[in-house]
Amino acid sequence: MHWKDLKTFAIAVLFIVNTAFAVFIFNHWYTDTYYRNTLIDSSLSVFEAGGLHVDRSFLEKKKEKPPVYMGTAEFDRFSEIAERLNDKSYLLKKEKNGIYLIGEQDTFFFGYDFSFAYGTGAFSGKTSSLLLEEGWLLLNEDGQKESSERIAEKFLQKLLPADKKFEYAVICLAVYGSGEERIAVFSQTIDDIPTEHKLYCLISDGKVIGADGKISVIAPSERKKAENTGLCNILFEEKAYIDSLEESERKPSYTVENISYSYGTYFDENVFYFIPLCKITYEDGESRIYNFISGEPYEP
Amino acid sequence: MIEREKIREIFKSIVLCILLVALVCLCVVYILSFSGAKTYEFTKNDMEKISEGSLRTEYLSHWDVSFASPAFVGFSSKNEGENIGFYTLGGENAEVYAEVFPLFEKLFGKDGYSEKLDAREGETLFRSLLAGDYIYLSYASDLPLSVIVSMTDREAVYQGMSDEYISELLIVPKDYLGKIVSDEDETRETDIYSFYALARDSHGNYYRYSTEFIPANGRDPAFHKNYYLTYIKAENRLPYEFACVWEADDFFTENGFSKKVKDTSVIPLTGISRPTVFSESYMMTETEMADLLEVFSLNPEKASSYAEENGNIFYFEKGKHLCFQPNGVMIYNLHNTEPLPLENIFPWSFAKEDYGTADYLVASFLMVKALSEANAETECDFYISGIYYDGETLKICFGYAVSGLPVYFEGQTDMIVFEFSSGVLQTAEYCFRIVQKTSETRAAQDFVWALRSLILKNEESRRYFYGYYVSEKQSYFDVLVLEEKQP
Repeated sequence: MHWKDLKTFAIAVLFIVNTAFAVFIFNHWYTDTYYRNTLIDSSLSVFEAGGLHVDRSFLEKKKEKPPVYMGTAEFDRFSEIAERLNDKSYLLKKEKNGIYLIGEQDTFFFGYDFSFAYGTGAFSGKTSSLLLEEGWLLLNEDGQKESSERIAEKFLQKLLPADKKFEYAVICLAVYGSGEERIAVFSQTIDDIPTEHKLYCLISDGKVIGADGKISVIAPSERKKAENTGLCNILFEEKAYIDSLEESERKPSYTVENISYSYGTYFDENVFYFIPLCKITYEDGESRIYNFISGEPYEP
Repeated sequence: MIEREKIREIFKSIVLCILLVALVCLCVVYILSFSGAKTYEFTKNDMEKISEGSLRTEYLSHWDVSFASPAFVGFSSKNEGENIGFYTLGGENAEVYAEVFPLFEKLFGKDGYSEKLDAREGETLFRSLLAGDYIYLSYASDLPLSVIVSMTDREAVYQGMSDEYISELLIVPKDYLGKIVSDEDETRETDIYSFYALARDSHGNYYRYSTEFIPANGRDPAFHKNYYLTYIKAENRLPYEFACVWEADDFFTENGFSKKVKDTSVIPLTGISRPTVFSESYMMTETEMADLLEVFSLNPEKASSYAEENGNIFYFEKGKHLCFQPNGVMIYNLHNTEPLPLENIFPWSFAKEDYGTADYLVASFLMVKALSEANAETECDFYISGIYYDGETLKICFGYAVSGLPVYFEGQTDMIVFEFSSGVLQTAEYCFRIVQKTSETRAAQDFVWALRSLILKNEESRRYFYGYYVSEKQSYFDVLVLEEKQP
């Protein structure tokens, strides 16, 4: 074959190979990023048949691939909080279930399981239990709502490590009021994704006088690319749960209103993990949370 | 024409190059984006392992240090005056015992190392240390060091069973490191020392535990007299002296005090008062039996029963059986037909191939809690009165404690006994007794006077101590001086 023809032939072969390879890569990327329409159609029909109504848009969205965070929860790392508070008047006391920082006016407790409590002379009870009592109203527009939120946020922020690699923050979920007192409910976030850690701060006279809940005051040390079970499988798990219900317990229909992602903490000896969770919320407010890695129901 | 041909060839060459570059780029994209796509750093298998580990952290909520707390904790600071001690059995005065946890961490953790001492060298050293500054701990029986340490340190829960059993521990100063300002009182300066510990068992084996850790500041665990000063004004403190350094009078000297009384027998320098205890044993009621059947996973509704001539009542269901004896003793699996798997004891779903000491200990704690709930009238604490391990079967015994003192039932302390092996509870024995504190508090028997009569009748070396001695003959009991023969 002449050199010129060989060049033409090479161009033709390379064009075909490149095109095929590009199509292959695109398909690979697409199936890795989105569910195929045929799969969505067949899945939705199975869900519908079981009384589970899922909007197509949930499955058409880009697949979520949240990472797993991990770190160690040893005593030495908990004691860093004492330095962070930058107040030498606190006496650090190590107990079986966590550490206490005992000051003249107030006491902090940080549990090894990330449980948290803060008490002062003005209030030493459990703030979260206060909400169960009557008289607390959810505040929508209130002059003190914003200031209460700011006071509690400032209080909680000083407990969080200033780690920029994996950033912790707190977001306010709600503020309740009763008389002059306010309770601000916060959720801790990691890299802007909420966790199942809820914090309750009691505010009175412009300062936090009591708090409890769960908070991680130790930054994770690693972020890991994680295999996950996928939203479609989670929905199949949910359908299996609905199918397992007795006729008397079952509602006529289940319409998914929202699907959201968060993180839950798991402990294995002194190592903690932030594991991605998937929450399915129905129109009537009922919700269930699944471990996004294993696909099993999550029990906090 | 030739020009056009040339241009065409140049164009074809450029296209060829572009296609080759594109192919290389596509390969790079593929390699970077997809070839490693399935190599996750965290897989579903990892999640499975963590779920199992997470369940194990459930253990911590049942991991109660009071079960393995010492019977007595003493502080000595020779420059400050008399020794002070506390009865701590069953978790009484828990804060006193908690003071030594940071020292334990350094002695028995990764910084610590141990050596076994020659019996004579150990005894000489032990005696000499009792005359100086120390923190002294005495356990109710020889306990595996691993159990003592794991009960006090959350991070050491899952270690295996150690061969070293200890019943007494002395923590003493080593090198003087200087003065520190107290965290609580900035005007108070304290001398701090590095430290080591000397331990022994009831058979005369001595161990020295040292640490490479050197305290550097006031927050670091160190030996100092603040431990002593913290409790010198505590209401429940007991001024005491050990028998080996106590100045015995002529009566004792002539009657062989030093040979007949164990060196670490605590001689109280003041009297103590404790509540009078009411106790009785009886054949359980049907309700109590039903509660106990449920503890051992037998259904009271379905279990069959029969009574023997000797008064024993058997309940059985699918091979599992419980025997209730007329004297109030309950035995599970008397005929060794159906042991109880551990997963039936744990309130969480958990099964695995290899079970360890921690699994058996938690199972025993759960059982003790369930059994005590079935005996709601009893108000007392429980403590590990003995642990025996032959490499296969782990026997764990529990005794009753009231106000930090042991309760002896006709000379016996083991009221609940479990035998575990291969992931199952082989047998369980529970001596069902009512033990209640009454509202009346009375002074305990005078220790020194009681000792006078006791050493007259005994020839061998014995340990003398305060405790409750319960017998079948009466129902109300006060604190007496008890004795225990030394091995």
